[in-house]
Amino acid sequence: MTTAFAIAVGFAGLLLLAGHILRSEKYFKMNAVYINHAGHLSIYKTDSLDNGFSKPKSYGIDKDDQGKIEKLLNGDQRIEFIGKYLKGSGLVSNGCRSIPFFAMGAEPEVESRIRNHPLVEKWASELAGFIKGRGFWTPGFLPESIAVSKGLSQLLGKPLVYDEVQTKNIDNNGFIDCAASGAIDKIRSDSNVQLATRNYDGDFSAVNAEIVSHYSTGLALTDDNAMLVPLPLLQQLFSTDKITYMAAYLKDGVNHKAMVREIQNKFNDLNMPYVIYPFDNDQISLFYVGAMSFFKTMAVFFIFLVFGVVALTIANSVTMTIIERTREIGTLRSMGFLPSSITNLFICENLVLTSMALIAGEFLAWILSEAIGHGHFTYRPPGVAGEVILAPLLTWESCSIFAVIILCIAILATWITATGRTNQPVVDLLTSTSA
Amino acid sequence: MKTRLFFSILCLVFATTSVAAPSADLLLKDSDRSRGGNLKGITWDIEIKTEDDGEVNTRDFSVKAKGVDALVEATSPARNKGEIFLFNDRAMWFLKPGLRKPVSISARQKLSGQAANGDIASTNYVGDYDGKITKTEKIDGVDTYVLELKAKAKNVTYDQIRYWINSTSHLGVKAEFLTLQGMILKRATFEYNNHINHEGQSIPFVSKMNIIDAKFSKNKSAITYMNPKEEAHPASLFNINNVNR
Repeated sequence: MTTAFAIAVGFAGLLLLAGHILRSEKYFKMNAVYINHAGHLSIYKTDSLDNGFSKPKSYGIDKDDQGKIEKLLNGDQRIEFIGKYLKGSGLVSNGCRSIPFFAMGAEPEVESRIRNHPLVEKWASELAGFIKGRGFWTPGFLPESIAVSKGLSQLLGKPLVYDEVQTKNIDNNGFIDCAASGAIDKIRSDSNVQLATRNYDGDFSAVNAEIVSHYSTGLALTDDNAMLVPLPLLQQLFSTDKITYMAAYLKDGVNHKAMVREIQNKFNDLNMPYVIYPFDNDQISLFYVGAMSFFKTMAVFFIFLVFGVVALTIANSVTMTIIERTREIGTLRSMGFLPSSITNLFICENLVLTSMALIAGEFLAWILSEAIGHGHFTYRPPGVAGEVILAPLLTWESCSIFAVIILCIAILATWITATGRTNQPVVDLLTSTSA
Repeated sequence: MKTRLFFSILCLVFATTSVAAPSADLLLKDSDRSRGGNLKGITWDIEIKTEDDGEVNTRDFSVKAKGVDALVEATSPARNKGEIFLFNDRAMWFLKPGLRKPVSISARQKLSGQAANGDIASTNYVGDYDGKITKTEKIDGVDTYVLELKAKAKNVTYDQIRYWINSTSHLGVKAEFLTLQGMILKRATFEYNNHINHEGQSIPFVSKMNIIDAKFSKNKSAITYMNPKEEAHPASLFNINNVNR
């Protein structure tokens, strides 16, 4: 009974751990692929990741190449949609002080598709919506509408979004006398900011922008400097029609690694100087790669620990059983039973015991997972901005794999322990005093 | 005997006076004046020619300065016309037609090529830096004092400057702009072929500043100063509220 209980609890623990890792992987993947716009595949000009930030003009993708890449990707049925992105940094000013920003310029219709994507809503619902306001693709919004990260809005002293300013009928075009006592209140009362940077021609450039939403990047590192800007507005700020990279979003279940090789070969054949990166490349999604490496290390450690405990528990239980039944083994041997037949009896007994424990363990894991899911518990993983919903994801695949491994361990542990005793001489078994 | 003693003391006094270096503040004040610093009102035009990774660009500005304030207006190319940089001591603003509010910017930001925003306005090293004369050195046959300047505040153009000032004319000859850790960011040399009338005297005024990136010597900028003239500017010219309207 104790053995069965140990196996059941160990199995339930393994399933919950695997479920948590699976759920976290889905969350981090959605974050990397959709929310942080890596796509399943991202296409950069060769060496752009190393030199693109310092020489964006030389390493950006020009209009002609954008068309060629689109043409090449558009025919592929495995691709759901394509996004064009421009990355850039500069200063965002509230009229009195400026704060550094890192902007992602995205096409409004693609961004809308991402935010409403069923997979994002399923696995990263925390990130799909906005903390406040509506997306810059909303009909009726100005072309200069932008979304800023929550931390950046706080640093700017801009708690209101465009909708709120409109409802309150506040004049947001007024000049702010920064030395005046009411300057902070005036800054807080509107959603207007200015973005400034050194553009691709080397000139100082600035544009007006209207904050229409606050959002979370999902990453603590970027949650106080990130900004989501319509691609045309960011291109206007940088005086360019180039983009930094293109991202391909694949249909669910497509093997992205195979596609990387395939598309790379097509680019090479056409002598196009572009490199395809999968989203799980550490140069593209460092956080995803780091987080998953940590989870995998943790999982390996716990899996070995639980498997070890299960093996020792079964071996211990079988040893005790065999010692208690030594004379019975001797009787069976004297009746003509072969040692292997007796070992098989023990194996069958333990298989039944382990199977029942596994069923109980799975039931326990399911109850706990449902309870956790309905409890709406959240946790804050390191490096993640905001809270993540704790909801272990139990799958038949993980259940089956772990169950088979535990059954194998049970068979092996029973066989090793039982074989030694059943092979002893019959006389020794019948006269054993240990039983 | 008394007469000999008097002359000996007199000689000693003169000898001491002739070798005593001027204070760092005096050197900076004099050198700043020839770079537009702390004058009651001055106007000049500048042309910044930039060579960055083989790409050459030219931009023109008109500068009006008074004391620690300066108003810099872009005059060419046409796409930049009307853009204004306003310097109120260490606070800096950028404005352009159509921009609803001025943008607060930093003197350290690069304006064009190697030239930082702070390089185009009048120079006020005496107010912005603590200076110390460290040694004397001959640069192209000219005796100079070498000053180590440390920023008094974080919002000045450079953290540290090594500044060579002509020991006779008190004009800045050469500068190295350094990071807080002492790493050289860029080097500059100055020419003084312009003259302005200051308090009835003709004084030399900077005509060219050549700035070279310390790491990539191919990346350089030349600021040419033209038509400098002292003229009175009203304080309201440098008021952000007025400029913005």
